[in-house]
Amino acid sequence: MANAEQLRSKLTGYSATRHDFDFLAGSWHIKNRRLKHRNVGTDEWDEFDCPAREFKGMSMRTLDLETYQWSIYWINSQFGKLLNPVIGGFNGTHGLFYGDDEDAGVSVICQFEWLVHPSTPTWKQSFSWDGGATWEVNWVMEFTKINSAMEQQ
Amino acid sequence: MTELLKRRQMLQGATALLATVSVSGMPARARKPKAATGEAMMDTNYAPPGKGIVTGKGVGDFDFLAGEWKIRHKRLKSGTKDEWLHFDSGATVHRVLNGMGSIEELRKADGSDMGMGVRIWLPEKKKWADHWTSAGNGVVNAPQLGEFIDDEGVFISEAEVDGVKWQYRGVWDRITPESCRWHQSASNDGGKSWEWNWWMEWTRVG
Repeated sequence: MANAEQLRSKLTGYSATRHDFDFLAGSWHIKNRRLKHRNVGTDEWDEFDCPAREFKGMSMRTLDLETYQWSIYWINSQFGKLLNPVIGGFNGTHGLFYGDDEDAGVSVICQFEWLVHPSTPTWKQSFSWDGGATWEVNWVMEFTKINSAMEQQ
Repeated sequence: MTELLKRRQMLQGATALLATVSVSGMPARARKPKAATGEAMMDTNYAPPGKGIVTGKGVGDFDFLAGEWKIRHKRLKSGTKDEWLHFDSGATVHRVLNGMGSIEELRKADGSDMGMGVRIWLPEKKKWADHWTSAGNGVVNAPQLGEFIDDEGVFISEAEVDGVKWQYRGVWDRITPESCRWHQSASNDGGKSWEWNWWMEWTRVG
């Protein structure tokens, strides 16, 4: 079964530059949809909004200047630690990132997707249990930019 | 132990002055007396307080570092044993995750980036993880773990180089609301003696 690195090596048209994530700088309102149970074929979702200033965790994105790929780390406020990164780049407005991970003790490939948009970008997380042959989306975040006029209200 | 440290520090003071001349490459009379005095005044004395009391509380330990800073560096030139580089820089430090994390952006004097320090409290291990990312390669290094002991942040990592076990130690000390110091040293005798390669004096500017 393929791992994350093998999936990345098959990608064509994806690259990375220093300014790829500039679109994300600022404050955002986030509408979350998260799959209640993964890998059981159900379609029940938890929906919740993230107030822009209430931290539940932190993402860190760094551009490796030797491989020219982005590494995205997620830091969960419960455990602190930097989890294994997903690694990848962009093809136009589509960002694609893969990382090897575990879900409930089972190896999975984790995929992040970014749909770049200046005011309403979208992030999606999917897992594959079969080396990238099939994917299940388990988390979608729809971002909406909080402009200064809204902040003042 | 104390005598050893003192001797080492005196030795370092002497080499630092020598290095200043060789690094700048300028005749002594051309150097600004003010800068020379400033370099000589960098205090590179350190001995651990030695009480061994954990004074850190975890979340919030790095709050002292949030803000804008100017920094004086004294750094061993890479590949040398006694050539010290003196330079100034700036840093902006952000408190994140309500004190569970701290992110440092370190800049050169000209404003260009040197790198980023990310410090995160690990509640399960009761340690801070300090990850460094150089602006030169964008790679997030494996963390150095540490905690605040006797009001100093002490971070130690270990590595084996050519069959020799080295300990690398970063220390945050002399912490006040307006200033602090960071220094890095290495030991190949299990922590009995340390050789320093970097000193930073931090002064708050905002």
